[in-house]
Amino acid sequence: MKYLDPIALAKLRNLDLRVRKSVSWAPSSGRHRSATRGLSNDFAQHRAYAPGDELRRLDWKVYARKDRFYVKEFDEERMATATIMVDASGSMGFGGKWDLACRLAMAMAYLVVAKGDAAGILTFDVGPREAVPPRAGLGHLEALDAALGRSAPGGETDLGRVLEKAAGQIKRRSLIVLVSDLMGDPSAVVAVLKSFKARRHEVMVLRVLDPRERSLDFEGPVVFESLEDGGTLASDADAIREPYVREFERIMRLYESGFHGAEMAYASFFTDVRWELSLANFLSRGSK
Amino acid sequence: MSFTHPAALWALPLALAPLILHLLNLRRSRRVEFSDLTLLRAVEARSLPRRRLRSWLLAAVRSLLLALLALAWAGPVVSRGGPGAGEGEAGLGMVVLLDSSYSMGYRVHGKTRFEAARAAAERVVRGLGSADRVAVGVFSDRLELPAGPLRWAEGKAEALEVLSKATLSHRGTDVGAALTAAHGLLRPQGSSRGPRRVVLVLSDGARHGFRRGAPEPDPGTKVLGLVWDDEPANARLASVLPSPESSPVQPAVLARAAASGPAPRQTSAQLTSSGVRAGSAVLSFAGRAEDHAVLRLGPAADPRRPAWQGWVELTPDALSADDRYYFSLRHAPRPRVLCLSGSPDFFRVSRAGYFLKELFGSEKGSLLAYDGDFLDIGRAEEAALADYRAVILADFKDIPPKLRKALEERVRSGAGLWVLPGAATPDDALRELGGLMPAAVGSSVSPAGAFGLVPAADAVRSPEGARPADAGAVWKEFELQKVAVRRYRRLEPAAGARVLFRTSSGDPVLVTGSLGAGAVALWASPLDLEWTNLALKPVFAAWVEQVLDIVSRKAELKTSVLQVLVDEPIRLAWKEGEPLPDGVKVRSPLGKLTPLRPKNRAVAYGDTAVPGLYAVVEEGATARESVFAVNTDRAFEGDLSRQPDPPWESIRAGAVEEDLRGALFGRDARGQAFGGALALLIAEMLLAFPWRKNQGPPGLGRPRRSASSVARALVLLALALLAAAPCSAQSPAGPGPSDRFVWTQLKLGPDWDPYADAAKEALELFGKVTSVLVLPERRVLALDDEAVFESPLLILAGRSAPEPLSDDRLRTLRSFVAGGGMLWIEDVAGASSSSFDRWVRKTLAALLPEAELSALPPDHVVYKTFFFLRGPAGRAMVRPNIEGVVWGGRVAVLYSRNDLLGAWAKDALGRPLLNCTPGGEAQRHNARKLTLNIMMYSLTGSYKSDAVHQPYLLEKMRQ
Repeated sequence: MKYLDPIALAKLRNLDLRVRKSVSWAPSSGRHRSATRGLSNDFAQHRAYAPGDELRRLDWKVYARKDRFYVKEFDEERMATATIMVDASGSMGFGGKWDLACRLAMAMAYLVVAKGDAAGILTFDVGPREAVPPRAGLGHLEALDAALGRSAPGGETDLGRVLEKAAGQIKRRSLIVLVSDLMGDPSAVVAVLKSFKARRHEVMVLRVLDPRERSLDFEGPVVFESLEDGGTLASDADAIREPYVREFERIMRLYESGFHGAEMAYASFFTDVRWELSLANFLSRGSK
Repeated sequence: MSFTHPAALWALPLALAPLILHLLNLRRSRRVEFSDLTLLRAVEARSLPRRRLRSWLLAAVRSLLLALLALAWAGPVVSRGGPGAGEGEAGLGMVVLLDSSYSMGYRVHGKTRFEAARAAAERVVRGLGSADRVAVGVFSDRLELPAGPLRWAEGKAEALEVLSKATLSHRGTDVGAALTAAHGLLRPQGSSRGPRRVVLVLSDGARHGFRRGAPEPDPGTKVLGLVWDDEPANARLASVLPSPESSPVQPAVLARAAASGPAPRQTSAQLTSSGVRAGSAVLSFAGRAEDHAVLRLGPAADPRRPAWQGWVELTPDALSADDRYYFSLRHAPRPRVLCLSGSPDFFRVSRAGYFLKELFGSEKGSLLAYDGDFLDIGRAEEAALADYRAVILADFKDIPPKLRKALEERVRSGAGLWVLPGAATPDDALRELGGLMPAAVGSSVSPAGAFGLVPAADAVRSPEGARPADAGAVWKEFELQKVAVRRYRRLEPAAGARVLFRTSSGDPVLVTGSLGAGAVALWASPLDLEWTNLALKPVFAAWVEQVLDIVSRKAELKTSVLQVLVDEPIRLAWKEGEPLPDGVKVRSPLGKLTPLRPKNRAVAYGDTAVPGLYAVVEEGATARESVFAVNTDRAFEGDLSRQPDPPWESIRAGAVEEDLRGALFGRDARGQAFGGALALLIAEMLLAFPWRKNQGPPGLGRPRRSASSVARALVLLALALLAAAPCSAQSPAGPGPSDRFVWTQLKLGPDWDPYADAAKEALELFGKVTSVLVLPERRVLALDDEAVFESPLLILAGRSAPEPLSDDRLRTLRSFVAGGGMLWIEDVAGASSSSFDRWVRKTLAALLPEAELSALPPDHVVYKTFFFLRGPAGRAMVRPNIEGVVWGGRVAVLYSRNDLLGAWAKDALGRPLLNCTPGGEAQRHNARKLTLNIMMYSLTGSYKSDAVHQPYLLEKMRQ
């Protein structure tokens, strides 16, 4: 696999992804307890018999003792599904962002699949581009990796609108992992992701950034060429660095506060920092 | 505006470089890929207008900065006022007038104003262009150089030659005459257009130079004159004349001194007569500008021709030319009186001769101002009557006709005759003298009331100028009423005769009358006790002297002063009848002998340009020597106070070329240009400074601007220095803290530094035990260094003789001593004789010829200025005393031969390097104390012996 080589797998061995109960579950049995009662080995409660209940669920030992009919109920166990949405817009091609995004997506997929849950991938730019439906089993990772390998960053994106479209495709409650640089209107992005949350999806946002995007580490007069729309901007990097950095930091804080308010897990990953460390840090923070 | 270096203006286009670079920078942008431009565009849109304004401002400021720098290096000169006549047409016509009057000898830091002015004149002349013309005139109260009228020099070389020949004269100043000559030379011929005309007067600008006014310059002629930044102080001797009380027995001179400017409150006047120091006095100028002192002279070398010559000298100050005043005075010789008597009994006790001989010939010498000789009338021919100022004819019986004739001739030629008829003098004898006598003599009378002698109002020969009332006062001191004239001859005064004394009954007893040029007195009674008790009375001596004064006309024997001013001729004449000398020679102060030939019984000598004593030597039978004192004119020249409104535009003596250029062509604006550039650089730094801190994450910001900031700071510093350069040239170079004692050691001779660490040790102890602040490091100077004048004490140590000192160095050293400095010479040879010792004695004789090197007494104040010592000390006791040259009331040069410095020397381990012999460590201890005493003496002088501080200390102890 391109983005999940043995070294990466070794690094992921000790990591664990925990999701909350409220995540939408697949009807098939899995490792996650469901809020509903169903078939499992875990006893839940006794309930007074009501007409219509299956007679095989009557607890005869209780009837013998109490001379009343009680039905024995068990917790239902379900399989979680995770949809990993990877931003493949042109801006993701800056520096090593795309590579980092793919590695993070595959790592998340692995962590989901390793728990017996199902993971799928959806790459997008102006619209959904490459989609692999969620499935369980480690063998599915190959398909995910291949899908990412087929994708390449390019084109513009309107993150808010794309996410709205994607939201329509995800019918069941599931874990949605968004890997993107979040270059767009922060309020729109946060609002869309909040709508995911409203549909009882679990949302995790992994922001992928190049350090130069944060510090504008260029010198003198520069003509910036956009990787998204191909537009240019002539400016003096030295002159605008300070207001740019200030504005960038403001947006960073805006995202942090927005996601924190919506109880969404959020972290920034820089290409100059080893991704497994950042990921471990992110996952340990989420487990607390 | 003009420029001194217009070629530098070619650099002006460089000022466009920042603008061009700015435009080039806009095109030179790098293309880089970036993820998303949304944020960048928003930021750019907000900051672009401000940034664009700032960058254009920066480019403009940088362009201006470069333009100003180019202007500054081109040397901008801002013209003042309108252009002069003929500006830029035919160069410059400059007349340089150099003042060589003796007031230009005012010395500051070892250099006279004349030397400074001449050096400035030479620099100005050298700096003239090829199209300029120059004339140099050296003037005092006349044009000294060039000989003849003022004229244009053929070239700069000729002008410089005139300047090199200029010397200080001994004459006064007349700026007006010099300016008149300059204006006459500069006056345009025909057309008023021509070269720019300038007169540069290099004078001291003192008030005395303008007594005769100054001419108005012609239109278009600029007159520039020096102004000195110090206020000169000067004390001068105005005159030295015989004191009114001076007499051949008690000669004295009256020295008058005056001070101007912040002169010392007091100075001392030293009298030197016949090459020997004869006395001194202190003159005080506290609260007044003048003071005088009477200085007593010693006895004359030849009593027959009592004459004195010499000089009085004040403590030398910055202008030493008027601190010495030469004098030559001659008193009339002590008058002699011949007493001719005709009786051997004349000298018997109780007779007149007895009393007169007591007066003239007692064991103590003559009690009167006359010397007396006694001779019998019969031997009168043996006497040379011409040698006597008066003759007393007493107790005679007859007068030989020959004697009578001789007496009459002598009296007529100006001598006096006093007739004292004796008891036995016959009336015939008196009648024989009838033609001479002021009164007819009658028979003798013996009145009843014999007591009382009444003087006439003018019965005294008063000194010239005394009030008549003083005459009668003389006799009030005596009890004339107790004088008894028991018998006397009746006198009948002749016409024109004066009765000086009468008896109480009114009869005249002393009558005088004139005869030719002389006078005759007649006393009516013998002085024998049988006739009068006058000879027993205290009034007798005064009475006899007064009678002799009257007949010998003593008051007419004036004291003569042989004195002329510089450049006035010395004249000597012989009266008719006086023998003429075979030859006459004049010996000038410089030793030059000039033979003179008498013409019309007189000689005149005109080469009196140098003050001093000129001796006129008569050769032949007379063989006399008359000494004339020649002095500079002291009436005005010594007052150095500045003329309040000189007729010229002032230029500073310290910046002649700069001010001259400014006055002629305008003021140098280079400083302003550099200042403007400095301001622009500061503005550029402010504009380019990153005021907002980089708020990015730590470690992301980089110090990009540090290098350019350092470069800007360096440029700023250089500009500041350049802008301040004209100012720093005027500020005095401070040699160091002025409140510290500095050990200043002279670097002279091969062994000038025998013990290198002695100074440090001595200074450390000096600073520790006294309250004097010391500079821990010594200062080593050569004699040519002007900094020698910064320290009150110069230390010269040596073992072997240095090279003989040149005249310039001697002059510097003398100036240092004259200015109040003290020279401490230490012979470290430690032997009874050394080449250094011989050199020191020879040098000191040349340095201070008027004072001698002598041993200081054991109670001299140098032994008690700080520590109380009983005598000298040192590493090796070669001499039992310290020597010194006492000059101006203080030890100006102190000379020790006991190697005081050797007592301080230490080895590497801090132990004494040399043993002190013979006294050991106690002697070393004393040597160290004496060293400190000498240092303290250089600072405090004789305050310990003056003890002015004792009352304060006692008062403090009482409190």
